[in-house]
Amino acid sequence: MSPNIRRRRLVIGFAASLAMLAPRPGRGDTVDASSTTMLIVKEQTRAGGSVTLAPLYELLSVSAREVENPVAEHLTLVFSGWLGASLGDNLVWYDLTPPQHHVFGDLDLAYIQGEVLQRTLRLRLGRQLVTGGVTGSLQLDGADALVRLPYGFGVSAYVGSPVSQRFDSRGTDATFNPQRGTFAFGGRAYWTLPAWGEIGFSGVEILDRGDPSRRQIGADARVTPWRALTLLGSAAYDLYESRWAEATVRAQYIVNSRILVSADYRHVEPDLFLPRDSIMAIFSFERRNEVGGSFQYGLTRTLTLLLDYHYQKQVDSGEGHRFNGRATWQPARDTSLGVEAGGLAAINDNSYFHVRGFGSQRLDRFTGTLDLQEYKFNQDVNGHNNSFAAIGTLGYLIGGGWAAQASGTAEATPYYKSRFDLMVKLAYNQSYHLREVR
Amino acid sequence: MTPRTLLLGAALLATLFGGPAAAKEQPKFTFPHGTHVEAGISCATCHGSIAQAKAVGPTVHLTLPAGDAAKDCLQCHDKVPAAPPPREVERAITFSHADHLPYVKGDCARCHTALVEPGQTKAPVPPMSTCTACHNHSEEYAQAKCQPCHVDLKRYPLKPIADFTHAGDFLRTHGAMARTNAATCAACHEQTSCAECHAATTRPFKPDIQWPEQVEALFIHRGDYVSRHRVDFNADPASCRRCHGSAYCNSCHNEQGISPLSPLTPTSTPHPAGWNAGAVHGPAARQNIGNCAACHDQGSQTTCVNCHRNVDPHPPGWAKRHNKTTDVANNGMCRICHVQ
Repeated sequence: MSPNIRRRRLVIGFAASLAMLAPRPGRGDTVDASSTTMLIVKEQTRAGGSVTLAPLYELLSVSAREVENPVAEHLTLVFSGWLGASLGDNLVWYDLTPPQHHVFGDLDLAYIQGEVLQRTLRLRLGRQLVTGGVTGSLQLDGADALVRLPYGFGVSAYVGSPVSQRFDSRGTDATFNPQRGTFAFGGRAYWTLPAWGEIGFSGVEILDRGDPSRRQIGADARVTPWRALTLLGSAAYDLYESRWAEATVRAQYIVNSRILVSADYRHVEPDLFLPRDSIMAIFSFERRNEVGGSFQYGLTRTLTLLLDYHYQKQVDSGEGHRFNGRATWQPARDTSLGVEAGGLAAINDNSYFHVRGFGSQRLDRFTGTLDLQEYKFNQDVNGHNNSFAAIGTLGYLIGGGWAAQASGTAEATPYYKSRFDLMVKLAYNQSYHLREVR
Repeated sequence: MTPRTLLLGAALLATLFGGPAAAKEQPKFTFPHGTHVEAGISCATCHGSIAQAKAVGPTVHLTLPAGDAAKDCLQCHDKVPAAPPPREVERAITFSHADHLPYVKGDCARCHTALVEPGQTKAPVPPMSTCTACHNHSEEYAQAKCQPCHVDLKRYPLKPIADFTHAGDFLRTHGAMARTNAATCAACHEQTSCAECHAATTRPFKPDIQWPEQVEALFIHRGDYVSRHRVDFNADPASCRRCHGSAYCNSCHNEQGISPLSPLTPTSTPHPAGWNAGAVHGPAARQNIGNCAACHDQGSQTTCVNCHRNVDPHPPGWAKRHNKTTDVANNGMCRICHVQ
């Protein structure tokens, strides 16, 4: 991509963001604003050597809802983006080509959304997350429309281009987006019966410079036969490969106010999660099945226990296990303690066992937390089988939506004999309610 | 300073100093509800149409009495006062006064225990405990079934995760929930909330870097994830692939000198001796091709092509599922080895 095109895309993207943010009459009646300024100092290994990174980040998020205007109802403007300046070595680890970049940033979201025709049609334009059905969660530059029809029926559709980092790697093999492509469209038709559930049929097609990247259709359902029981199911069929990419069923039952149990089964063919125009897509035909469940028990009002186990089996290959237990105790409003233990045995690979202890204590405007993590690997990773991390934070609530925090991390891992990171953070979170709402 | 830097700076300044607009002044209420309730004036005298209201809003159901109906007013007032200007009420909840009033036998005070008085700008709204006094919503609450009663909950401050449980193994189940029920998620969460984890393509770091103080949160990549990411990937490659493309993996592997195209340490290899033998690396690739893609997904430049141009790499059953002519015509990847 030429520098001119890249620059033009940057200009258009940020001009759109600015236009959304510029003060104007009749601004959003509810505005959520969030700003986080972070300075992180840490050590990182690169090409066998060690460098010190000191990035200064500014993360901004602004959403204005119910913006008064003569055209659309529930007009919403959303912006979320970040800016980073590296005070140490080049932070953009993937940019190995000189010159080094010390200032960079990106947009996570920048969209405008409104409803017309008495809320029958909802439109969203800009950088957004498209969710639902076989699409899953797709970060997209484009348009999304939802038509609400009578009797609980509805249709949604979207079109656009999958997002790529920093605008400049769209349509190249360097994009970080797993939905690799330059053009995407899809949609979902559904029927909702309030209190009973919803059923939907969906499809997605992504093209990468004209070549097929993803072409799937699917169905999903959520049924609540009675109030305490929820049944969920979904399936995705790959039209390019003529195989099922994934199918899941799940039952969740609330026995009483203290006990919740769930059971689930999943069939997945992981190679179908690669783009179809990837050279890797031709080598494999993987099929995995997973079955398990979880159990949550509120022993007392302050003590909760959560247990989870899943068994995995790869067809014509190995098996794996995943289990986890977690107990959280909140003896007082400002005090929280927890312990966690679990393990993961991956199919045809390493396994690990871990324990974790964590807690938080609030004293007036101060909040302190401590998080201790220990992982023990069955086989050595980089010649070591142990990883320990201790993370402590101390925060101070300044008031008016402002909070300050310092945190430190000490680690002894397979890749670092010892490492210490430091982070200071100034955060601002505030909601402005400008109109009476009942 | 580059145009990019200028634009980024401008966006930052616009957000910080453009800021939210000053709060719009709401007109103050002038009607003394308490005085009229004490005088025994029924709510229905002025709010008579509420009995037929199937929904809240968009305006208050206020109709001042006239004619004979106004005789209660004229006991104290010389004439019926003018109605206040219409006050818009936004619909944030699905609620039918018409359906509920018969249950309380028209006694509004059963729910409206506090009334707005002169000088106030906000009318007190019955709290949710008023609803749960009759409706058992504990199960709906635990399962995040806020709809169809709540239309939009985003305006309310999010409660701590410990209070609103999102019960069970929510980290792994919320995706399945969202697939069929995104509207429920959207009732409380703006996309900015989803993007904190799901905008993995553009976010500069993992969530626990930004929020180390959230020790109870179910962050997947907490702590030293570099050491265990390979085990997690082999346990569930599809989950990783939902957020991270091959280039994301390769960018770091390249930097660490373990990727074949890395300019830093081109001679290093993570593979054991004898790996190049087909009988060794072939089964591994068949079982989890994602492992290979984390370093070798470079299209025609991938090292796999060198040999597999001449050694059929396709898994059993490939020919049955594919039309070679169509594939080669429509997919440039096929043309790396096949002639159109």
